[in-house]
Amino acid sequence: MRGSEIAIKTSRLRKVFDNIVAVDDIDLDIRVGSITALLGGNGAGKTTTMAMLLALLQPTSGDIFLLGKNLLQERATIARNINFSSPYVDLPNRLTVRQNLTVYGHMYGVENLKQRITTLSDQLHITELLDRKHGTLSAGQRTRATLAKSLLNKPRLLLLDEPTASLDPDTADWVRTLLQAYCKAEGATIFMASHNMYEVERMCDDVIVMQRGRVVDRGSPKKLIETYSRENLEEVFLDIARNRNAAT
Amino acid sequence: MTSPAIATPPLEAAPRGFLARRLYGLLLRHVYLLTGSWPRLVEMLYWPIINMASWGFTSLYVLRKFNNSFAVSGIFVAGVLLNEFFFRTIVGMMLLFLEEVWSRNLGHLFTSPLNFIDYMIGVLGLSFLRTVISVSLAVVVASYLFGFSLLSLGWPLTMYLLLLLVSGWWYGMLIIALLLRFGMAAEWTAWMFTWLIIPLIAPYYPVAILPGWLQLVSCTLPPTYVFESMKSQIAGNGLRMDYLLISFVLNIVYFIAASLILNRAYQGARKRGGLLQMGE
Repeated sequence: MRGSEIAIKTSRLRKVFDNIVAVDDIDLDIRVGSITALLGGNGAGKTTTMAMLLALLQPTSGDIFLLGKNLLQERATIARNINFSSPYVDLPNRLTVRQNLTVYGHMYGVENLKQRITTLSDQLHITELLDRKHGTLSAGQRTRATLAKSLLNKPRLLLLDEPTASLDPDTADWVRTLLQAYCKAEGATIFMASHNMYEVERMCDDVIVMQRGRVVDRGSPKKLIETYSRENLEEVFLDIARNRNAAT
Repeated sequence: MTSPAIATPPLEAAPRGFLARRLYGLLLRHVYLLTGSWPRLVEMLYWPIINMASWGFTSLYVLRKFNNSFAVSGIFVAGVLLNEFFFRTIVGMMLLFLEEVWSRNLGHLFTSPLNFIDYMIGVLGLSFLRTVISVSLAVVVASYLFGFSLLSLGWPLTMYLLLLLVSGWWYGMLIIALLLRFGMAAEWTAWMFTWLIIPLIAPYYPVAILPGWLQLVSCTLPPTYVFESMKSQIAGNGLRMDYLLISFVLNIVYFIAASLILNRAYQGARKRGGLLQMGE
Protein backbone atom coordinates (compact mmCIF):
# COMPACT_ATOMS: atom_id res chain seq x y z
CA MET A 1 0.00 0.00 0.00
CA ARG A 2 1.32 3.38 -0.97
CA GLY A 3 1.33 6.30 1.43
CA SER A 4 0.31 9.86 0.76
CA GLU A 5 2.28 12.33 -1.37
CA ILE A 6 0.67 15.17 0.48
CA ALA A 7 1.82 15.64 4.07
CA ILE A 8 -0.72 18.33 4.96
CA LYS A 9 -3.99 18.96 3.25
CA THR A 10 -6.67 21.28 4.49
CA SER A 11 -9.88 22.09 2.75
CA ARG A 12 -11.92 25.16 3.59
CA LEU A 13 -10.36 25.30 7.03
CA ARG A 14 -12.03 27.96 9.10
CA LYS A 15 -11.85 29.13 12.68
CA VAL A 16 -14.10 31.74 14.22
CA PHE A 17 -13.68 32.99 17.80
CA ASP A 18 -16.93 34.63 18.85
CA ASN A 19 -17.44 36.90 15.85
CA ILE A 20 -13.80 37.17 14.83
CA VAL A 21 -12.67 35.15 11.83
CA ALA A 22 -9.14 34.02 12.69
CA VAL A 23 -8.72 31.61 9.76
CA ASP A 24 -10.92 32.06 6.74
CA ASP A 25 -11.52 29.00 4.54
CA ILE A 26 -7.91 28.18 3.75
CA ASP A 27 -6.88 25.33 1.46
CA LEU A 28 -3.37 24.02 1.97
CA ASP A 29 -1.51 21.19 0.32
CA ILE A 30 2.01 20.62 1.51
CA ARG A 31 4.10 18.05 -0.34
CA VAL A 32 5.90 15.25 1.49
CA GLY A 33 9.60 16.02 1.87
CA SER A 34 9.22 19.77 1.56
CA ILE A 35 10.07 22.52 4.01
CA THR A 36 7.30 25.08 4.03
CA ALA A 37 7.06 28.33 5.94
CA LEU A 38 3.91 30.02 7.06
CA LEU A 39 4.44 33.77 7.15
CA GLY A 40 2.28 36.60 8.29
CA GLY A 41 2.13 39.51 10.68
CA ASN A 42 0.65 39.38 14.17
CA GLY A 43 -2.96 38.25 14.02
CA ALA A 44 -2.60 36.83 10.49
CA GLY A 45 -3.80 33.41 11.65
CA LYS A 46 -0.51 31.46 11.70
CA THR A 47 -0.72 30.30 15.31
CA THR A 48 -4.38 29.42 14.94
CA THR A 49 -3.60 27.38 11.82
CA MET A 50 -0.72 25.60 13.58
CA ALA A 51 -2.89 24.86 16.62
CA MET A 52 -5.56 23.32 14.39
CA LEU A 53 -2.97 21.15 12.61
CA LEU A 54 -1.82 19.97 16.04
CA ALA A 55 -5.42 19.14 17.07
CA LEU A 56 -5.09 21.50 20.01
CA LEU A 57 -7.77 23.69 18.53
CA GLN A 58 -10.97 22.47 16.95
CA PRO A 59 -11.78 24.06 13.59
CA THR A 60 -15.14 25.75 13.19
CA SER A 61 -15.41 24.00 9.84
CA GLY A 62 -13.27 22.31 7.21
CA ASP A 63 -11.12 19.20 7.06
CA ILE A 64 -7.51 18.45 7.91
CA PHE A 65 -5.57 15.50 6.50
CA LEU A 66 -2.08 14.79 7.82
CA LEU A 67 0.04 12.11 6.16
CA GLY A 68 -3.05 10.97 4.29
CA LYS A 69 -5.25 10.50 7.36
CA ASN A 70 -8.14 12.58 8.61
CA LEU A 71 -6.90 14.32 11.75
CA LEU A 72 -10.25 14.44 13.49
CA GLN A 73 -10.88 10.73 12.95
CA GLU A 74 -7.41 9.20 13.18
CA ARG A 75 -5.43 11.42 15.54
CA ALA A 76 -4.05 8.44 17.46
CA THR A 77 -2.33 7.00 14.37
CA ILE A 78 -1.14 10.39 13.15
CA ALA A 79 0.20 11.56 16.53
CA ARG A 80 2.91 8.87 16.63
CA ASN A 81 4.30 10.16 13.35
CA ILE A 82 4.33 13.88 13.93
CA ASN A 83 5.87 16.16 16.53
CA PHE A 84 6.20 19.83 17.27
CA SER A 85 8.30 22.43 18.96
CA SER A 86 7.50 25.95 20.03
CA PRO A 87 9.31 28.37 22.29
CA TYR A 88 5.89 29.32 23.67
CA VAL A 89 4.97 25.83 24.92
CA ASP A 90 7.29 24.71 27.70
CA LEU A 91 8.48 21.35 28.83
CA PRO A 92 8.16 20.76 32.59
CA ASN A 93 10.68 23.08 34.23
CA ARG A 94 11.39 20.93 37.28
CA LEU A 95 12.38 17.88 35.27
CA THR A 96 15.86 17.50 33.85
CA VAL A 97 16.35 17.48 30.10
CA ARG A 98 17.01 13.72 30.22
CA GLN A 99 13.86 13.12 32.27
CA ASN A 100 11.73 15.16 29.88
CA LEU A 101 13.13 13.29 26.89
CA THR A 102 12.55 9.96 28.66
CA VAL A 103 8.95 10.85 29.53
CA TYR A 104 8.12 11.93 25.99
CA GLY A 105 10.09 9.05 24.51
CA HIS A 106 7.75 6.65 26.28
CA MET A 107 4.68 8.64 25.28
CA TYR A 108 5.72 8.43 21.62
CA GLY A 109 6.68 4.75 21.95
CA VAL A 110 10.31 5.34 20.89
CA GLU A 111 12.38 2.16 20.55
CA ASN A 112 15.94 2.10 21.98
CA LEU A 113 15.12 5.26 23.84
CA LYS A 114 18.43 5.68 25.68
CA GLN A 115 20.35 5.40 22.43
CA ARG A 116 18.01 7.86 20.72
CA ILE A 117 18.47 10.39 23.53
CA THR A 118 22.26 10.02 23.30
CA THR A 119 22.22 10.52 19.52
CA LEU A 120 19.98 13.57 19.65
CA SER A 121 21.91 15.11 22.54
CA ASP A 122 25.02 14.75 20.47
CA GLN A 123 23.42 16.29 17.38
CA LEU A 124 21.89 19.20 19.27
CA HIS A 125 24.92 19.75 21.55
CA ILE A 126 22.94 19.27 24.74
CA THR A 127 24.85 16.33 26.23
CA GLU A 128 26.24 18.49 29.03
CA LEU A 129 22.72 19.80 29.74
CA LEU A 130 21.04 16.42 30.07
CA ASP A 131 21.08 16.37 33.87
CA ARG A 132 20.14 19.99 34.33
CA LYS A 133 16.58 21.01 35.08
CA HIS A 134 14.77 22.49 32.09
CA GLY A 135 13.86 25.58 34.13
CA THR A 136 17.52 26.42 34.74
CA LEU A 137 18.41 26.53 31.04
CA SER A 138 18.90 29.69 29.03
CA ALA A 139 16.34 30.50 26.32
CA GLY A 140 18.65 29.13 23.60
CA GLN A 141 19.34 25.93 25.53
CA ARG A 142 15.61 25.43 26.06
CA THR A 143 15.01 25.82 22.34
CA ARG A 144 17.53 23.04 21.66
CA ALA A 145 16.09 20.79 24.38
CA THR A 146 12.59 21.27 22.98
CA LEU A 147 13.88 20.56 19.46
CA ALA A 148 15.38 17.30 20.79
CA LYS A 149 11.94 16.38 22.13
CA SER A 150 10.41 17.16 18.75
CA LEU A 151 12.83 14.82 16.95
CA LEU A 152 12.58 11.93 19.45
CA ASN A 153 10.13 9.84 17.44
CA LYS A 154 11.75 10.58 14.06
CA PRO A 155 8.58 12.37 12.96
CA ARG A 156 7.51 12.25 9.35
CA LEU A 157 5.88 15.62 9.83
CA LEU A 158 7.49 18.23 12.02
CA LEU A 159 5.55 21.36 12.95
CA LEU A 160 7.83 24.10 14.19
CA ASP A 161 7.04 27.48 15.62
CA GLU A 162 10.08 29.81 15.49
CA PRO A 163 12.55 26.88 15.42
CA THR A 164 15.62 29.01 16.03
CA ALA A 165 14.15 31.53 18.47
CA SER A 166 16.71 32.74 21.04
CA LEU A 167 19.61 30.94 19.35
CA ASP A 168 22.81 32.81 18.59
CA PRO A 169 23.61 33.09 14.85
CA ASP A 170 26.15 30.27 14.91
CA THR A 171 23.88 27.83 16.77
CA ALA A 172 20.89 28.88 14.66
CA ASP A 173 22.92 28.14 11.55
CA TRP A 174 23.80 24.57 12.45
CA VAL A 175 20.29 23.91 13.76
CA ARG A 176 18.97 24.89 10.32
CA THR A 177 21.51 22.62 8.68
CA LEU A 178 20.52 19.82 11.04
CA LEU A 179 16.82 20.23 10.26
CA GLN A 180 17.44 20.30 6.52
CA ALA A 181 19.61 17.19 6.77
CA TYR A 182 16.96 15.44 8.87
CA CYS A 183 14.30 16.29 6.35
CA LYS A 184 16.38 14.90 3.50
CA ALA A 185 17.55 11.76 5.28
CA GLU A 186 14.15 10.76 6.65
CA GLY A 187 11.99 12.06 3.80
CA ALA A 188 10.25 14.12 6.45
CA THR A 189 8.20 17.25 5.96
CA ILE A 190 8.69 20.44 7.93
CA PHE A 191 5.97 23.02 8.28
CA MET A 192 7.12 26.05 10.20
CA ALA A 193 6.07 29.49 11.30
CA SER A 194 8.88 31.98 11.49
CA HIS A 195 9.50 35.69 11.58
CA ASN A 196 13.11 35.19 10.56
CA MET A 197 13.07 35.93 6.81
CA TYR A 198 16.68 34.92 6.35
CA GLU A 199 15.86 31.55 7.85
CA VAL A 200 12.84 31.09 5.60
CA GLU A 201 14.81 32.11 2.52
CA ARG A 202 17.57 29.70 3.36
CA MET A 203 15.56 26.66 4.46
CA CYS A 204 12.23 26.65 2.70
CA ASP A 205 11.08 25.28 -0.64
CA ASP A 206 7.72 26.92 -0.31
CA VAL A 207 6.32 29.95 1.47
CA ILE A 208 2.69 30.59 2.32
CA VAL A 209 1.80 34.14 3.27
CA MET A 210 -1.24 34.77 5.43
CA GLN A 211 -3.02 38.00 6.15
CA ARG A 212 -6.22 38.44 8.17
CA GLY A 213 -6.86 34.73 8.19
CA ARG A 214 -6.45 34.21 4.44
CA VAL A 215 -3.66 32.91 2.23
CA VAL A 216 -2.67 35.94 0.18
CA ASP A 217 0.38 34.62 -1.64
CA ARG A 218 2.39 31.51 -2.11
CA GLY A 219 5.54 30.37 -3.86
CA SER A 220 9.19 29.58 -3.42
CA PRO A 221 11.22 32.35 -1.75
CA LYS A 222 12.90 33.02 -5.11
CA LYS A 223 9.60 33.28 -6.95
CA LEU A 224 8.10 35.64 -4.36
CA ILE A 225 11.17 37.89 -4.46
CA GLU A 226 10.92 38.02 -8.26
CA THR A 227 7.19 38.62 -8.25
CA TYR A 228 7.50 41.57 -5.90
CA SER A 229 10.73 42.78 -7.57
CA ARG A 230 12.51 42.91 -4.25
CA GLU A 231 15.97 42.10 -2.97
CA ASN A 232 14.94 39.70 -0.27
CA LEU A 233 12.02 38.06 1.47
CA GLU A 234 11.91 40.63 4.24
CA GLU A 235 11.05 43.32 1.72
CA VAL A 236 8.40 41.07 0.22
CA PHE A 237 6.94 40.53 3.67
CA LEU A 238 6.80 44.30 4.27
CA ASP A 239 5.10 44.84 0.89
CA ILE A 240 2.43 42.31 1.75
CA ALA A 241 2.00 43.55 5.32
CA ARG A 242 1.61 47.13 4.06
CA ASN A 243 -0.73 46.08 1.26
CA ARG A 244 1.62 47.05 -1.56
CA ASN A 245 0.86 45.01 -4.66
CA ALA A 246 3.19 42.63 -6.42
CA ALA A 247 5.14 44.14 -9.33
CA THR A 248 3.46 41.93 -11.89
CA MET B 1 14.05 25.25 -5.46
CA THR B 2 11.31 22.69 -5.12
CA SER B 3 11.94 19.13 -4.11
CA PRO B 4 10.27 16.33 -6.04
CA ALA B 5 7.10 14.90 -4.56
CA ILE B 6 7.66 11.68 -2.67
CA ALA B 7 5.24 9.45 -0.88
CA THR B 8 5.43 8.58 2.79
CA PRO B 9 5.23 4.89 3.61
CA PRO B 10 1.82 3.98 5.02
CA LEU B 11 1.50 4.78 8.72
CA GLU B 12 2.11 1.78 10.94
CA ALA B 13 -0.42 0.66 13.50
CA ALA B 14 0.54 1.29 17.11
CA PRO B 15 2.61 -1.53 18.65
CA ARG B 16 1.13 -3.77 21.32
CA GLY B 17 1.26 -2.33 24.80
CA PHE B 18 1.49 1.22 23.50
CA LEU B 19 -1.23 2.46 25.88
CA ALA B 20 0.74 1.03 28.83
CA ARG B 21 3.85 2.79 27.57
CA ARG B 22 2.07 6.14 27.29
CA LEU B 23 0.71 5.74 30.82
CA TYR B 24 4.17 4.73 32.02
CA GLY B 25 5.50 7.97 30.52
CA LEU B 26 2.88 9.92 32.46
CA LEU B 27 3.74 8.02 35.64
CA LEU B 28 7.44 8.75 35.17
CA ARG B 29 6.71 12.43 34.67
CA HIS B 30 5.17 12.66 38.16
CA VAL B 31 7.64 10.29 39.82
CA TYR B 32 10.49 12.49 38.55
CA LEU B 33 8.67 15.58 39.77
CA LEU B 34 8.09 14.20 43.27
CA THR B 35 11.51 12.64 43.73
CA GLY B 36 13.19 15.80 42.48
CA SER B 37 11.24 18.11 44.75
CA TRP B 38 11.35 17.19 48.46
CA PRO B 39 8.91 19.98 49.49
CA ARG B 40 6.26 18.31 47.29
CA LEU B 41 6.99 14.92 48.85
CA VAL B 42 6.92 16.28 52.41
CA GLU B 43 3.72 18.20 51.74
CA MET B 44 2.08 15.03 50.50
CA LEU B 45 2.77 13.25 53.80
CA TYR B 46 2.52 16.24 56.13
CA TRP B 47 -1.14 17.34 56.01
CA PRO B 48 -2.77 13.96 56.65
CA ILE B 49 -0.59 13.51 59.76
CA ILE B 50 -1.27 17.05 61.03
CA ASN B 51 -5.03 16.69 60.52
CA MET B 52 -5.08 13.27 62.11
CA ALA B 53 -3.05 14.45 65.14
CA SER B 54 -5.22 17.57 65.67
CA TRP B 55 -8.48 15.63 65.60
CA GLY B 56 -7.01 12.67 67.46
CA PHE B 57 -5.89 14.80 70.41
CA THR B 58 -9.23 16.64 70.39
CA SER B 59 -11.00 13.31 70.65
CA LEU B 60 -8.71 12.22 73.50
CA TYR B 61 -9.59 15.41 75.36
CA VAL B 62 -13.31 14.78 74.88
CA LEU B 63 -12.84 11.18 75.96
CA ARG B 64 -11.05 12.14 79.22
CA LYS B 65 -13.07 15.24 80.06
CA PHE B 66 -16.50 13.71 79.60
CA ASN B 67 -15.58 10.15 80.43
CA ASN B 68 -17.05 9.16 77.10
CA SER B 69 -16.80 5.84 75.36
CA PHE B 70 -13.73 4.81 73.42
CA ALA B 71 -15.99 4.70 70.35
CA VAL B 72 -16.06 8.51 70.19
CA SER B 73 -12.30 8.63 69.86
CA GLY B 74 -12.39 5.84 67.26
CA ILE B 75 -15.01 7.67 65.21
CA PHE B 76 -12.93 10.82 65.20
CA VAL B 77 -9.70 9.12 64.16
CA ALA B 78 -11.33 6.81 61.60
CA GLY B 79 -13.31 9.80 60.31
CA VAL B 80 -10.13 11.82 59.86
CA LEU B 81 -8.27 9.01 58.11
CA LEU B 82 -11.12 8.11 55.75
CA ASN B 83 -11.82 11.76 55.09
CA GLU B 84 -8.13 12.29 54.30
CA PHE B 85 -8.33 9.38 51.86
CA PHE B 86 -11.28 11.05 50.10
CA PHE B 87 -9.88 14.57 50.25
CA ARG B 88 -6.34 13.62 49.16
CA THR B 89 -7.79 11.85 46.10
CA ILE B 90 -9.47 15.09 45.05
CA VAL B 91 -6.42 17.23 45.82
CA GLY B 92 -4.16 14.71 44.07
CA MET B 93 -6.22 14.90 40.87
CA MET B 94 -6.31 18.66 40.98
CA LEU B 95 -2.56 18.94 41.58
CA LEU B 96 -1.72 16.46 38.83
CA PHE B 97 -3.61 18.67 36.40
CA LEU B 98 -2.32 21.95 37.83
CA GLU B 99 1.30 20.76 37.54
CA GLU B 100 0.80 20.55 33.76
CA VAL B 101 -0.86 23.95 33.66
CA TRP B 102 1.81 25.60 35.83
CA SER B 103 4.56 24.22 33.60
CA ARG B 104 2.62 25.15 30.42
CA ASN B 105 3.01 21.56 29.31
CA LEU B 106 -0.53 20.85 28.10
CA GLY B 107 0.41 21.65 24.50
CA HIS B 108 3.16 19.03 24.44
CA LEU B 109 1.02 16.47 26.27
CA PHE B 110 -1.99 16.69 24.00
CA THR B 111 -0.05 16.75 20.75
CA SER B 112 1.64 13.50 21.80
CA PRO B 113 -0.10 10.17 21.22
CA LEU B 114 -1.53 10.53 24.73
CA ASN B 115 -5.18 11.44 24.26
CA PHE B 116 -7.46 12.96 26.86
CA ILE B 117 -8.97 9.63 27.88
CA ASP B 118 -5.48 8.14 28.38
CA TYR B 119 -4.56 11.20 30.36
CA MET B 120 -7.57 10.91 32.64
CA ILE B 121 -6.96 7.17 33.17
CA GLY B 122 -3.41 8.13 34.19
CA VAL B 123 -4.65 10.88 36.50
CA LEU B 124 -7.12 8.52 38.21
CA GLY B 125 -4.40 5.90 38.75
CA LEU B 126 -1.79 8.41 39.89
CA SER B 127 -4.17 10.14 42.28
CA PHE B 128 -4.87 6.74 43.86
CA LEU B 129 -1.13 6.05 44.27
CA ARG B 130 -0.53 9.51 45.74
CA THR B 131 -3.39 9.03 48.18
CA VAL B 132 -2.22 5.61 49.34
CA ILE B 133 1.30 6.94 49.98
CA SER B 134 -0.05 10.10 51.56
CA VAL B 135 -2.49 8.46 53.99
CA SER B 136 -0.51 5.30 54.82
CA LEU B 137 1.92 7.12 57.07
CA ALA B 138 -0.95 8.86 58.89
CA VAL B 139 -2.56 5.43 59.49
CA VAL B 140 0.67 4.17 61.08
CA VAL B 141 1.05 7.33 63.20
CA ALA B 142 -2.60 7.07 64.35
CA SER B 143 -1.97 3.54 65.51
CA TYR B 144 1.12 4.66 67.44
CA LEU B 145 -0.37 7.85 68.97
CA PHE B 146 -3.93 6.81 69.67
CA GLY B 147 -3.86 3.03 69.65
CA PHE B 148 -6.43 3.04 66.85
CA SER B 149 -5.85 0.84 63.86
CA LEU B 150 -7.89 1.57 60.77
CA LEU B 151 -7.54 -2.11 59.93
CA SER B 152 -9.74 -2.88 62.98
CA LEU B 153 -12.68 -1.93 60.74
CA GLY B 154 -12.11 -5.27 59.03
CA TRP B 155 -13.32 -6.18 55.56
CA PRO B 156 -15.82 -3.28 55.32
CA LEU B 157 -12.77 -0.98 55.21
CA THR B 158 -12.12 -2.14 51.63
CA MET B 159 -15.63 -1.09 50.63
CA TYR B 160 -15.31 2.24 52.43
CA LEU B 161 -12.04 2.99 50.65
CA LEU B 162 -13.32 1.94 47.22
CA LEU B 163 -16.47 4.05 47.55
CA LEU B 164 -14.49 7.06 48.80
CA LEU B 165 -11.97 6.63 46.00
CA VAL B 166 -14.68 6.74 43.34
CA SER B 167 -16.27 9.73 45.07
CA GLY B 168 -12.89 11.52 45.08
CA TRP B 169 -12.49 10.69 41.40
CA TRP B 170 -15.78 12.15 40.21
CA TYR B 171 -15.41 15.20 42.41
CA GLY B 172 -11.84 15.68 41.16
CA MET B 173 -13.09 15.37 37.57
CA LEU B 174 -15.55 18.20 38.23
CA ILE B 175 -12.73 20.36 39.62
CA ILE B 176 -10.60 19.70 36.50
CA ALA B 177 -13.65 20.52 34.35
CA LEU B 178 -13.95 23.82 36.21
CA LEU B 179 -10.29 24.61 35.51
CA LEU B 180 -10.62 23.65 31.85
CA ARG B 181 -13.68 25.84 31.49
CA PHE B 182 -12.48 28.96 33.30
CA GLY B 183 -8.71 28.55 33.19
CA MET B 184 -6.35 29.66 35.92
CA ALA B 185 -8.75 32.45 36.88
CA ALA B 186 -10.67 29.67 38.62
CA GLU B 187 -7.73 28.23 40.56
CA TRP B 188 -8.81 29.67 43.91
CA THR B 189 -12.42 28.77 43.24
CA ALA B 190 -11.24 25.22 42.57
CA TRP B 191 -9.47 25.13 45.94
CA MET B 192 -12.64 26.43 47.62
CA PHE B 193 -14.69 23.70 45.94
CA THR B 194 -12.32 20.98 47.16
CA TRP B 195 -13.05 22.06 50.75
CA LEU B 196 -16.75 22.80 50.24
CA ILE B 197 -17.85 19.19 50.25
CA ILE B 198 -16.11 18.22 53.52
CA PRO B 199 -18.59 19.64 56.09
CA LEU B 200 -21.48 18.33 54.01
CA ILE B 201 -20.42 14.67 54.12
CA ALA B 202 -20.26 14.65 57.95
CA PRO B 203 -17.04 12.71 58.45
CA TYR B 204 -16.79 13.25 62.25
CA TYR B 205 -20.37 13.91 63.34
CA PRO B 206 -23.79 12.47 62.60
CA VAL B 207 -25.67 13.91 59.63
CA ALA B 208 -28.50 14.66 62.09
CA ILE B 209 -26.35 17.49 63.53
CA LEU B 210 -26.68 19.45 60.27
CA PRO B 211 -29.56 21.88 59.74
CA GLY B 212 -32.51 20.32 57.92
CA TRP B 213 -31.78 21.77 54.48
CA LEU B 214 -28.12 20.80 54.71
CA GLN B 215 -29.15 17.27 55.65
CA LEU B 216 -30.98 17.11 52.34
CA VAL B 217 -27.82 18.20 50.50
CA SER B 218 -25.75 15.75 52.54
CA CYS B 219 -28.04 12.87 51.58
CA THR B 220 -27.28 13.43 47.89
CA LEU B 221 -23.53 12.86 48.45
CA PRO B 222 -22.17 9.28 48.31
CA PRO B 223 -19.40 9.76 50.94
CA THR B 224 -22.04 10.68 53.56
CA TYR B 225 -23.32 7.10 53.52
CA VAL B 226 -19.84 5.68 53.92
CA PHE B 227 -19.20 7.82 56.99
CA GLU B 228 -22.61 7.02 58.47
CA SER B 229 -21.92 3.32 58.07
CA MET B 230 -18.45 3.69 59.60
CA LYS B 231 -19.87 5.56 62.62
CA SER B 232 -22.56 2.94 63.05
CA GLN B 233 -19.99 0.14 62.87
CA ILE B 234 -17.62 1.70 65.43
CA ALA B 235 -20.48 2.60 67.76
CA GLY B 236 -21.39 -1.11 67.76
CA ASN B 237 -24.63 -0.68 65.83
CA GLY B 238 -23.44 -2.76 62.91
CA LEU B 239 -22.46 -2.19 59.33
CA ARG B 240 -25.04 -0.38 57.16
CA MET B 241 -25.05 -2.31 53.90
CA ASP B 242 -28.10 -0.35 52.77
CA TYR B 243 -26.10 2.87 53.08
CA LEU B 244 -23.17 1.40 51.17
CA LEU B 245 -25.49 0.31 48.39
CA ILE B 246 -26.94 3.83 48.10
CA SER B 247 -23.39 5.23 48.03
CA PHE B 248 -22.45 2.77 45.28
CA VAL B 249 -25.43 3.67 43.07
CA LEU B 250 -24.96 7.42 43.58
CA ASN B 251 -21.25 7.06 42.79
CA ILE B 252 -21.98 5.35 39.48
CA VAL B 253 -24.48 8.04 38.49
CA TYR B 254 -22.15 10.89 39.51
CA PHE B 255 -19.09 9.30 37.90
CA ILE B 256 -20.90 9.05 34.55
CA ALA B 257 -22.24 12.59 34.88
CA ALA B 258 -18.81 13.98 35.84
CA SER B 259 -17.19 12.17 32.87
CA LEU B 260 -19.68 13.80 30.51
CA ILE B 261 -19.18 17.24 32.06
CA LEU B 262 -15.38 16.84 31.91
CA ASN B 263 -15.48 15.76 28.27
CA ARG B 264 -17.65 18.77 27.46
CA ALA B 265 -15.21 21.07 29.26
CA TYR B 266 -12.27 19.54 27.35
CA GLN B 267 -14.03 19.90 24.00
CA GLY B 268 -14.90 23.48 24.96
CA ALA B 269 -11.23 24.19 25.76
CA ARG B 270 -10.27 22.79 22.35
CA LYS B 271 -12.80 25.09 20.70
CA ARG B 272 -11.56 28.17 22.56
CA GLY B 273 -7.85 27.37 22.31
CA GLY B 274 -7.66 26.97 26.08
CA LEU B 275 -5.13 24.12 25.93
CA LEU B 276 -2.52 26.45 24.45
CA GLN B 277 -3.33 29.54 26.46
CA MET B 278 -3.72 27.93 29.86
CA GLY B 279 -0.84 28.76 32.16
CA GLU B 280 0.26 31.01 34.97
